[in-house]
Amino acid sequence: MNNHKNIDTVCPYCGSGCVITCTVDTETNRIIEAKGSPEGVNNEGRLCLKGLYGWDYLNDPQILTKRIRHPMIRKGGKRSPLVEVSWQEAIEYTAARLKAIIKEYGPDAVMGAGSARGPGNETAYITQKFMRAVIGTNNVDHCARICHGASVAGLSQSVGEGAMSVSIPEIEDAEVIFNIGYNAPVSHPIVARRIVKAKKKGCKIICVDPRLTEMGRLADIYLPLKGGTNMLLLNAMAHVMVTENLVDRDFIEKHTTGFDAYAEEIAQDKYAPEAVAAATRLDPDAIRKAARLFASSKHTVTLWGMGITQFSQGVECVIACSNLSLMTGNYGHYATGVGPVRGQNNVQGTCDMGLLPNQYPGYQPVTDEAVRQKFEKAWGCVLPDKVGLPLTRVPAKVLREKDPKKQIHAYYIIGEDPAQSDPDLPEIRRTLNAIDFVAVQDIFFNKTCEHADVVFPATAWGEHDAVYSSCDRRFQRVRKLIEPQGDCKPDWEILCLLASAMGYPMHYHNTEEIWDEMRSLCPKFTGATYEKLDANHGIQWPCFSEDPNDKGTQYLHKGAHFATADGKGRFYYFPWTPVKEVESPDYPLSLSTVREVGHYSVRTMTGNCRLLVDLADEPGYIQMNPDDCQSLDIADGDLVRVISRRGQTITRCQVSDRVSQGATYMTYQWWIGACNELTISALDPKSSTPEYKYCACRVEKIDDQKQAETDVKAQYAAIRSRMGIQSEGGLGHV
Amino acid sequence: MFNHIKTDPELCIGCKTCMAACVASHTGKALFAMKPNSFDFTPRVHVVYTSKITKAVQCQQCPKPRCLDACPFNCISLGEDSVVIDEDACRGCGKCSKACPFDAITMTRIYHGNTKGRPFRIVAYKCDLCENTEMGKPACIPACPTEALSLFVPKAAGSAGAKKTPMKI
Repeated sequence: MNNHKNIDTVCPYCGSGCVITCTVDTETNRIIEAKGSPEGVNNEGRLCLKGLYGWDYLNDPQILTKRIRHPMIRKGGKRSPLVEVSWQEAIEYTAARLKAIIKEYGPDAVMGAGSARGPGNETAYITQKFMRAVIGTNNVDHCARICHGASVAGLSQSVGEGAMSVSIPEIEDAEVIFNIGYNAPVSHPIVARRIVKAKKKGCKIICVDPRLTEMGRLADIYLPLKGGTNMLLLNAMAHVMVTENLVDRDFIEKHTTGFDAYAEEIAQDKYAPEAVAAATRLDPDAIRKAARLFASSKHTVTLWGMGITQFSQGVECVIACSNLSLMTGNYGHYATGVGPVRGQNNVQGTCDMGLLPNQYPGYQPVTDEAVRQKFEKAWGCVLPDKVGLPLTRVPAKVLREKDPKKQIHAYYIIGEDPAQSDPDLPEIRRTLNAIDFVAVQDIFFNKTCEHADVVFPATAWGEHDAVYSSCDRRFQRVRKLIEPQGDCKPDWEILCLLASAMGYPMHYHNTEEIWDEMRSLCPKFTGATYEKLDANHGIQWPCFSEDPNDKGTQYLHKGAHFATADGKGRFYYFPWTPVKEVESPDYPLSLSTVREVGHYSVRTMTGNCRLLVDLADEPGYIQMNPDDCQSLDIADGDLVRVISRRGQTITRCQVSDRVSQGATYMTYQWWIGACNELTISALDPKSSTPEYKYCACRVEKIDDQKQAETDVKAQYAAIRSRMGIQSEGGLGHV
Repeated sequence: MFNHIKTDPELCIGCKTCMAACVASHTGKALFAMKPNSFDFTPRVHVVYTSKITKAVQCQQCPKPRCLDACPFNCISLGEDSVVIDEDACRGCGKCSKACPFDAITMTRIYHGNTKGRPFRIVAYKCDLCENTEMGKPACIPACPTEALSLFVPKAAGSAGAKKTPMKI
């Protein structure tokens, strides 16, 4: 058909960086079909269900919520309805409000949250530039804070680079995979593809997870540890390697520092597998076997996810993982190293672009005077020299900070939904209600919009050009597929309008202009021109030179020359720190948040895709052990009430003998069964990442199931109406 | 023996992409222009999770199908190269589903299409190898991200298969 066009782009879900070929009907302005592109280095022509069918939200079927098409402000002040206004009015209003707050309280009263999702790297760069150069603060952050923030901090300390050292295709050539707190079959099916392929090639898999995940099922050694005891296990494995002399002396001597002091601590009897068996609930022999297997190969790849980072001891456990690779010589060559596999499509990119309170783009510290001067010269302004606020500290800075001069008074949120994604939602709502001015830039009306004073309509993935960074540092070009409807603008354009209205003229003709400015300021990315991205299936950073022969870097730390100041990897010893809230008689069960394979993030996108909604929908479920269900007299599929010290929610019971007694699991995508009503806002002191993976709860039986079913339907209808949907629909067919 | 789809449980990660692909294939591309809830979500493949195994389960197209014998209304027949359920004739009694040794037949409520004048109708759904779809061949196989699914063709496997199967003495 003449009006059908095939366009290659990058999937907007997860960090795997799959290349998709989309067939677009240019006449009806719709996508017809998506297929995996053989050009995709990481996906080799394959896609998961989100890649194949997750573009449907561009059709705006209004299942859970609906697209924002026009700028809106609350003309009558807080709690008055949002009304549609012109772009000029919305921009002038926002500029005036922000300027007034800066004048009264100073620039550090403003917090900015950028988007790691659809907008891409160019918008991420403009977001941090806007916050730093126009507002004048380093208070800029994004969702890495609540996921892999600990990996960035921990690995930077350990080996000088916070990203995956290994690339996705290399996983398939690993001889041993140490998989801890990571469930690729659910979070990254296309990474799981490499893991199962590796297994077919003879690779041995060690899986550590309190729940028997798909990875656990496929593993050769499965270690079902008690949640919250990662450090004990990691130290015990290190203990075995040190005391059984399984370490690589030569590598340690040549390429690392701090081993002797570390080894002395680790060799203590308290870290013998037998000594940690009770607390970790693991078989000491299995720990020894796992340690020996890990150390047996120079192609051991360590993969971790939220099961390491979303604990109050996240950063230290990241370093403990890296220690194992360092002491066994598993860094610096093909098919080895570490993989903190990033969750969102561009969360690697938003870190790359300096959407962090302590770093400019290219991982350059805001506290380094020479770096700051370089950015001041380029941007023509004076920049703040103080590290900014992590976004998880916003509630404390609003609700508990007494000095108005030190409070946060304005929150500018781009493509994020803290009122769904952040821990302890009752506290988040109190925070958003107490902030003087909340601005939201998004593609969908979401829970945070309900607290916003101004809402800007942004273009979605598929409606603009961009570059995303995959989880293994690959910059890839993302293409516009269809024309945006209504009054939407690309996120970077909205910020440029606002900057100009605030007295700092910002103007770019296209994303390449932004990209080129960014490259000129970031040595690690300088060589990654659009031209080279097109010619090479994307470019993995670091890529220092524009020379066509510099094709980037497949794996980091080649030859074990680490990215630290002295080029050496560093050992650090940390004792175990228990989780912050344990089970008690009133709250006898532990709760961990997990993922639903067919849904993504806060579900605004996948919750509006026909096939994905039909596979799994509200009110979600809580996975529980059969014995716990029996003692509570609840059956599979029953609606149950889940209560913690923070709040409560209703969801469906899913009985599973893959879950151990006393532990429960809730996927975080649901709006009715919202697990973040229950989670605790305890933070890792080093990375400010919340402890989503552990808090205490209780589950209550609901006697009148029929009434509960009716209530859930009513709740769904109420959510849809709050999101502005007028048509019928939602849960169920009747 | 008929062609049928096989799942390798060592490769299956339980992601349900096959289920979505099945519905997309049978409903057609028009699905993405239809009002949500105006079509039935009736996957003909299901992912089963036991304590130890995860596996996509679909009809094995048995040469002597127990479901055929179990159907009291003669709605199941042997087609040219598969077991065929006449979905319009199906009365939803569920006997075929109970008889299936693979648990590959799912009784599903449908609210659209031919509901015979009632608000909904229960119909037996199972893998039909996408024979009557636009694609005409199984959609789940190319959709599977881990290549866990394959089409088993007995004729092609014939001689090789005979060698591999240990003889009972």
